[in-house]
Amino acid sequence: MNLNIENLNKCYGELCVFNQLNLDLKDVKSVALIGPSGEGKTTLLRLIADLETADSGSISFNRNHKGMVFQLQNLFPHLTALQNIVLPLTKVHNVEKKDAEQQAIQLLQRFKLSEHANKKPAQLSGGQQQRIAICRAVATNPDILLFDEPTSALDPEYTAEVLDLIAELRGEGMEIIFVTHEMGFARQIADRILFVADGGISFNGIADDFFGEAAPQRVKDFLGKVLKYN
Amino acid sequence: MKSLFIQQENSPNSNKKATIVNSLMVLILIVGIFFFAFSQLDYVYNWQSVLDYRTIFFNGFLLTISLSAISLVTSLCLGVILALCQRSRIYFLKIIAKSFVEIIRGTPLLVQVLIFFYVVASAFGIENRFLNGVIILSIFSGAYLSEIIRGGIEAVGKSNFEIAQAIGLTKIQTYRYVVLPQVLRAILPAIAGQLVSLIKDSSLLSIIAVKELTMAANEMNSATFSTIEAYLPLVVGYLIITMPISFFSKYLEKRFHYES
Repeated sequence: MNLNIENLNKCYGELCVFNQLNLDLKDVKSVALIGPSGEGKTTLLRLIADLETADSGSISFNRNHKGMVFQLQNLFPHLTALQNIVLPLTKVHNVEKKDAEQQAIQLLQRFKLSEHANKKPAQLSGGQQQRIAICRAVATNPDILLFDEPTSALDPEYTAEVLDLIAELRGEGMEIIFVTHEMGFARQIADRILFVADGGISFNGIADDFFGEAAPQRVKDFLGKVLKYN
Repeated sequence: MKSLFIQQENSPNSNKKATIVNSLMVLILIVGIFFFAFSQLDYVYNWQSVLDYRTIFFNGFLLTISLSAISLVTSLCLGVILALCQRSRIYFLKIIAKSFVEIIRGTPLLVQVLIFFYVVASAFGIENRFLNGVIILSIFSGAYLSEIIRGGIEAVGKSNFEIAQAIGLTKIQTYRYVVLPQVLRAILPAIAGQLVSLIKDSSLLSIIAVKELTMAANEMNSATFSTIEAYLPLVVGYLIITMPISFFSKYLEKRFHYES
């Protein structure tokens, strides 16, 4: 993916999250957005996903069709897992209902979720819900998947199954941008790490530098806190 | 024995036998009270006059049904429009809808009927009484329905709108496939209750001489002075219309049911 952001400003009322943000990424495959809470990781992802508009500045991104997975409650509560996957296929991507169901069932089988096809979200664990949400995003053949803290609301055992699925998709060549607090995962998967803090991006580099000795003090302080009990 | 009268804890399904036994007890109680009350009356019944007026009753019954059926549809449409206006970002629409709802809900239907019929309708040249009735009932019921619908839409989790946007649904598709099914399930009981009210409220139209069911009883009463015989058929008449709505709503509730 190529992502170019120039002089971007974004405020919510008095609170300004980004002040003259600039970013230039070329030919990267997977990007992790890391940083303290409330400093703009999610906002940046949502701007990239076209779910928010910037106050000023420009974003140019060479990936049009994006699949998005949120932190929690990704599925519509009145639809079954299967119906959740089929809905965007038939209504947005004009796939015939029969073909859409076929596709959804195949995906569910592939990710070992087929026994849950006809369950409503309330009958599924958080991890299963997230994996089905990922299936829904994948089903539409996106150019890229965007994840906003996909495991932050999950128990540790479910976290692993969701991260495994994301890693598997990445392994198959799917490009991803993800906001995460899972440092180990970011280190393994991301070929670029952006540290989002203080109204901009205060680190932009590879994982080894981010976790290494050469990292800026701001990053080291943050990692010190986050990894204290790891 | 105890299970015949008190529902067991943790058993969601009520016991069939207990339902029958207790329904019978309730029936005996009601019949008992009314049997006593009526027996205390020093009154000579003249059921013949009901038979004499049966065509008028029947026509009134039919008119109540058609009046309610049409108002039911128009008030639902009005309710949806008002609810959407209340949520609109256009100030004029928002304020007009909110004022409308507050004024209608804050004043008695009887006053609205009189003012609409004698002032508004005559100024705008609406002479047909049936049409007057439909308009008044739709306005009155529509205001209540709009509040029910607005509440239902607001109860749909915000995340639903966000996901809908993220997966690329248009605004109309979002309402059609995501919001509507969830709202329907949440507000069905309240809507059914409001529609039952609408049917009963149509009886107030008798004061502007719309020839509905209550008007038929008024007519017979003033001609024959058989008050009780005139109004008792109304109990049956209105129950025949309202009961199916209650049953239908229970059926729909079951159909739409899902864990949330």
